[in-house]
Amino acid sequence: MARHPELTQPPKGGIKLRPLKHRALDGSLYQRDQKVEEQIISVILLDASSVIKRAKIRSKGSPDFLKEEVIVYLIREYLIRQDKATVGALCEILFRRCSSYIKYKFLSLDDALSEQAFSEVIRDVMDPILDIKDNNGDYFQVRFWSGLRRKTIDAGRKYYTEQKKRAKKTINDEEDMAIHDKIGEEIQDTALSAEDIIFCRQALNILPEPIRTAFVLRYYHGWQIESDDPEMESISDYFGKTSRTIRHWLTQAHKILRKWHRGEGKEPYS
Amino acid sequence: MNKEIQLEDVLDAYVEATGETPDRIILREWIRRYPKFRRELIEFTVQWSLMETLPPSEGTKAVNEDTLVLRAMSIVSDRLHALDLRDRAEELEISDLLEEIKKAGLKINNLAKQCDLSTAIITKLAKRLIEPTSIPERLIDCLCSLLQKKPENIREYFQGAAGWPLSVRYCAIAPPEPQEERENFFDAIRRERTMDEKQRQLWLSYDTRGTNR
Repeated sequence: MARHPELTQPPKGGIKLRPLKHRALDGSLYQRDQKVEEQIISVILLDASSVIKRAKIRSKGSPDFLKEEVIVYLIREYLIRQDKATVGALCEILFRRCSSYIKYKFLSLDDALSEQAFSEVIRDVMDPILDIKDNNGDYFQVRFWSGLRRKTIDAGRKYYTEQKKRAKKTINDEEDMAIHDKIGEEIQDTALSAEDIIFCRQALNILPEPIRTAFVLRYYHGWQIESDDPEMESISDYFGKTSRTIRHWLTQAHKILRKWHRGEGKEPYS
Repeated sequence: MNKEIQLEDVLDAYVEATGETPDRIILREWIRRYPKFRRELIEFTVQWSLMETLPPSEGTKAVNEDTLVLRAMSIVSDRLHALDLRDRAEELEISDLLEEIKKAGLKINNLAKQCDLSTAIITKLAKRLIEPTSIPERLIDCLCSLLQKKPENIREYFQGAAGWPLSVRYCAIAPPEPQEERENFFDAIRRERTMDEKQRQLWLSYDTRGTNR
C-alpha cells in the first residue's frame, strides 16, 4: 500500500485525534460526539489485537463497547498505518453489526435486486471510509447509522424503481377512470382501523403501482389526498393527479385487498 | 463558512433530523428550509416510506449474516486494491520533471551528463518545449532508469502543456505567452552549442525520423 506522508505522522503531544474536515450545513466543521472521542482515546494506544477484541463486543451496555463511529475512525487509522489485516478485521466487525439492517431494508425486493442493492450500499458507505486522502467519509465518524440509513434509502430508490419497471402490474389510470365514471360508483376515502392497517400490510405487494404507493402514503404515513396547506405535500401533488383520481386508486386498492382477504379465508375488512 | 448547499449534505442532515421513520411534518419543515431541493426531498421521503412499510417479497431466500459479511468483505478487498493502484499511479505521475530530478537525489547537470545531454536541453525537456514525438526512446529509457519511473509516465509528462519559452524572462514588455510550436528534439540538439561534438553525433544518429529510433 502506498504511503501518505502527511497522514503517517503519529499523534504528537498526547493523544490528538485526526481532525474532521467536512462541514455541516451551517458551515461549522463536523464534530464527533464526546462519547465517540472518549472511546477512540481509550483504544488508540492499544495494540491491534486488543483493539479488535474491544470492537468485537456487541453489548451496548458493556463499558468496553465501541460505537460504530469509533470503528470507522479505527479503520481509517489502521489504513494510515498500513495495517491491512487490522483494517480487514475491523471492516468485518462493522459488517457483522450492520449487514442484517441493510438486508432487512431490501426485503421487498426480489433476490437478485436485493443482492445488488446490498452491494451498492456497502460500496457507497465504504468508498469514502476507505479513501483516506479524502474527507467524504467524515459523516460516518459522526453519525454512522444515520449515514447508513441515508445510503440504504438511496440504493432503495434505484432498485425499487427497477423492480417497478419490471413489474407488469401497473394500471392505466385514465382508462380505469373512464370505466369507473361509466359505472358511476361513488369514490370514498375509506378509513382503516389499526387492525386493518396491520393486516393489509402483508398484502401490499399484490397492489399494482402507482396505487400501492398512494395506499402506503395515505394509510401508513398519514399523507392527505389533498392538502389545504400549500407547503404540505399531498398525494395529489406528488402524483400530479386530481384528488378524484387518487380516491379512485385507493378504492381500487381496497377492492384488491378485500378480495385477497376473502382468498385467505378471512372476513374482508369494512 | 459560506459554501453552496449540497443536496448530499441536506439529505444527510434531513435523515438525521427525521430519525428512524419518515415524518411529513419534518418533510414540510425541510422543504421550507431548502425549497430548491423540494422535489428531491419528497422523492427521498416517498421511497423511505415505502421501504419502511412494504412486506417481504414472496419466495425470497433467507441469507445468513456470514454470507452478507463475506459479500461485503469482497467489496472492501476490491476497493482497497483499486485505491492501492490509484496511489501507485499517483506516485509515478510526474507533475514537474525538475522536482523529480531533485527527488531522485540528482542535480540537473548530473542528469544531463548521465544522459549525454546538456543542461539546456534537459531544461527545455522539463519545460515541455520539445516536440514529444521527436524524443528518442533511448532518452525516455535513460530518464526512466535515473528517475525510477515508467516510460508511460515520462511520455505523459512530455505530452502535457508547454511551459514558457526560456527567453521570456528577458522580455518584460508584454505578458509572455506559452510557446505554441515546440522544437523538434534533433533540431534542438543541432542548435545546442554547449554539447560536445561526440554527444551531438550520438543523438543525431537517432534522427532521420526512424532508422535508429
